[in-house]
Amino acid sequence: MVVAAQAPVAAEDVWIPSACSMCYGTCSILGHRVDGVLTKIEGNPESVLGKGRLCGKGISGIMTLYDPHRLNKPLRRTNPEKGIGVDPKWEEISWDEALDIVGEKLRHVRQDDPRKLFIQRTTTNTSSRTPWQVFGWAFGTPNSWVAGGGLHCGNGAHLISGIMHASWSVVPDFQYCNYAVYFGASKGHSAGHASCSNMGMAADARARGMHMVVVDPICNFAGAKATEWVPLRVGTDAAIALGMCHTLVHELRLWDSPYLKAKTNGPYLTGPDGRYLRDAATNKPLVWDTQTKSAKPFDAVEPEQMALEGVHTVSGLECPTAFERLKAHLKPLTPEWGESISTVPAATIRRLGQEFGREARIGSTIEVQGRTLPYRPVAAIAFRGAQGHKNSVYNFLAVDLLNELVGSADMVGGCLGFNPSCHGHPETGRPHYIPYADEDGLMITGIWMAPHLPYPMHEPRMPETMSLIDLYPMTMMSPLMASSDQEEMWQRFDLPYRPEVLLNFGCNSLLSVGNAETVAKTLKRIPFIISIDLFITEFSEFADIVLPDCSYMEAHDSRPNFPFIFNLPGGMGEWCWPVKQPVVEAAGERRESSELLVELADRIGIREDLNEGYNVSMRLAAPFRLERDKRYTYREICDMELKSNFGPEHGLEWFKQHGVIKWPKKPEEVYWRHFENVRVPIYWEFLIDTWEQANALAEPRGWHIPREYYSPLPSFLPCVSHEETSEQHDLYAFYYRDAIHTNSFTMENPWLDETAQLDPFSYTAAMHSEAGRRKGLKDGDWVWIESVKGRRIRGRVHLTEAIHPEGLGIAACAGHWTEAQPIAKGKGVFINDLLEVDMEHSSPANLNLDLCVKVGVTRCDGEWS
Amino acid sequence: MALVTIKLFGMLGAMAGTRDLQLELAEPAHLRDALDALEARFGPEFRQRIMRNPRALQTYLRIFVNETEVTDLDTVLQINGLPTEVSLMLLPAAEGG
Repeated sequence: MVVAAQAPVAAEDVWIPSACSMCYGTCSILGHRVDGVLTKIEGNPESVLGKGRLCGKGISGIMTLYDPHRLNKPLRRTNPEKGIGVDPKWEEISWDEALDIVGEKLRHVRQDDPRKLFIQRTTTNTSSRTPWQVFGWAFGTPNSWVAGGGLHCGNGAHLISGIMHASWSVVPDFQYCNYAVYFGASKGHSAGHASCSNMGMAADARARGMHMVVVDPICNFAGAKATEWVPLRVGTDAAIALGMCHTLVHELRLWDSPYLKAKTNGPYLTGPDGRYLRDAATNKPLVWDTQTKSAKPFDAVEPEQMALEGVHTVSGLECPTAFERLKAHLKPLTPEWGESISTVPAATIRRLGQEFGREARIGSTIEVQGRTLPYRPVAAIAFRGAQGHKNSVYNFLAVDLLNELVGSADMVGGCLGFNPSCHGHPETGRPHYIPYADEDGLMITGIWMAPHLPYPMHEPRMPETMSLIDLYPMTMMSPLMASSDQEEMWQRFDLPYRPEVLLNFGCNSLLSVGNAETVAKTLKRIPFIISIDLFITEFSEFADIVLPDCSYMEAHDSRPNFPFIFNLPGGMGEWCWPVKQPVVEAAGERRESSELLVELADRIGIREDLNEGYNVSMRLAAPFRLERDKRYTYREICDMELKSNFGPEHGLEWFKQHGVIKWPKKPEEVYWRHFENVRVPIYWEFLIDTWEQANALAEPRGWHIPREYYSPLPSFLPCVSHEETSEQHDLYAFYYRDAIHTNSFTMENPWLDETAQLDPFSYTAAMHSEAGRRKGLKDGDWVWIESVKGRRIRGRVHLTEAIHPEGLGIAACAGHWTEAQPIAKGKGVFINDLLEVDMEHSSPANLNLDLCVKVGVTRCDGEWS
Repeated sequence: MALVTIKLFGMLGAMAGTRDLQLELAEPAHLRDALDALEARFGPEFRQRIMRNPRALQTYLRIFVNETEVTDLDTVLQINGLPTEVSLMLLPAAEGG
């Protein structure tokens, strides 16, 4: 007799809407739970965040959730010695004991000097941002960072996107753009902000016929799908962008005059010292009124009456407009000049400039939902690759000047900031933010990822922070949190304290910042370290207490994708607010870090400060403001935020059932620039004062801040690697973000590790085939990669035609060595170990770390071969 | 005289050594007067922490008057003798990634 097998009937079979955290893209997901076990993760088609798409990292999250090496109990170090490879000799302790120790340490530091607390947090899990920022404010420390995040990728990109586009980052307006130039960026082709959403939109744009030029030393995620790949010498993006600007202005005499007059400071008159000419009565910048032939405050003249060009005589002074200064500045920056720096042929630079200008269709309009708007279907965008250098600010700004010249910034088809203007849900009008103007008419972003805004900048002052951000106001993240010269700089500027406790959430700064030796030395100087994480990492091996965190599949968050300037796709479509909720119950003794911070705040005695911090950060409105002396769980705080924004019927329970709330975007929001009376600076006049004030503080302390980094107009300035002359060190090593991996976090995931091993690039150093042949190397050979400073790493070489002949491209940031992550251990090439972490290798403008290194490459022989 | 309750949260409270205090200000009292009184009490370092330059507040300072956020130094603090609370909090976080 044959009996048919019967599948057991599941008592529970549900799909739970939530948010991914395998990278900071935070796409919306559905978790399939069967009898309490997560069996599959898919994209949530109901959400704008991915529209049902999910990348390989997202679907692999199940393997991170159930990784047998996850932390389950609090640990205490018993070995007082700390160092790379030193066994901490962990012992398990109870949560009560762990919280007693941690609470006492934090209470003591706060009573002594709250600035002695140093908070370090990952950007990968976006849900950590608000609770950790609020805890830092409540505690009273100005010392926090996100380790490699920001230091490597955001100091230039986010600063300038904020000043020029009121947003965290920029993308082509995929629905309308016809011609996009990517400088060291992969938006829509790899990972990062709104990644799965942008991938769909970029694919549709390419299918529609969008011409895409990728300027990049390596032809990978974006370049492989582009219409044209333009390989350049590493770190020279500004030279190409400025050469294209020269072609537009001096060879074609092509620019969008009405846009420049109405939306930039191009018409502002400048004096002999480069500063604005100002009205004596109001202090407002002056423009030249072509009708009355006199200088007037900028807001007293209609834009079409303003002179954009020329030198005008005011009170006997010859006063060029800001745009006239830009023209003069661009005059010598020819495509031939650009070729001499970037190696890109002048004819190519000139052609790209011509194509960009022609495709901009200056003067044309288009109708969007009944609104007639300027139509400028060209975009020049940049991101980490272009700005991860000593010339961080100017590399990015030079690229954005292309958009400003042709008037495509935040116009239909142009270069868009992500969602910098939101009029709110139709029923509540919340959240609501719009860019607005300062007294000089320049734009201030309506919302930002942190209260430290990109503009207006504060005046440089003597440092109170470990980062010296006080002295360098363009800085977001600073290498001084882990640099080899931090103590020297702190002494030089009389920092009145030293860090005593480091509180870490999910960061592995040993791998993510620079060479591990330098970072380890800085960690050893900190008396007490607490680490909250999913796994033991190389960083955690320096900790005194380790606390087990819930993963994103076990945790709550009311705002995984807010602010919208971070992760919601740009362009027309829908606003969408998802939540994160546990798909499974937390295993072991893991605790949500957001709840843990509430507990710690109570133990330290800062509950009132914490509650007020949440009121401020979440802009909670009555009756949903937190009472100061009442104890709330983080889930209750999430509930208050959702009700505050979307009404009392849309609390956390509603969102748990429905996953997201959506409403349509309006042209006035997406193409806000046309509607709002704000200007952006094509001439950064404010840098003149910033440099003078900063250098006046620095010089008496034997520290010189180079003035050329503070000129109001962008130039190409060389990286340290460009000035190396050693013949043995003939390649520029640089890193790129792998689409398969997220920073150092995902190498322990077995599915992603297997995928990376199959990929010819993920765990290798990509070298041009001709360079390899010259060195006698074959594809797959083991090599030593050595910097001029003598730092040496090992890896396998992959020979390819898809890289600039001088480049050595390595996917960051692999190279784990901890025994606690056996899948990750020994995989890939640890390029960050070649990076110097000091002021010499950081931008004197925004302290961005320079990420390219001049190296020599030799075959590994003997035991390593 | 206008009686104004001051709440100093986070770093400002920690540095001042107190979260709560009361000020008596000559009427009509403005926000500027309250900040001047706080500087007089806690020294010029207090003002340096909250001002971006001599004329403008730090962008990461939040000031609420009776739970309404204000940015204008000329904001009137007491109207018709009603109790007024001014709360200040510094939000000194930067962000990256």
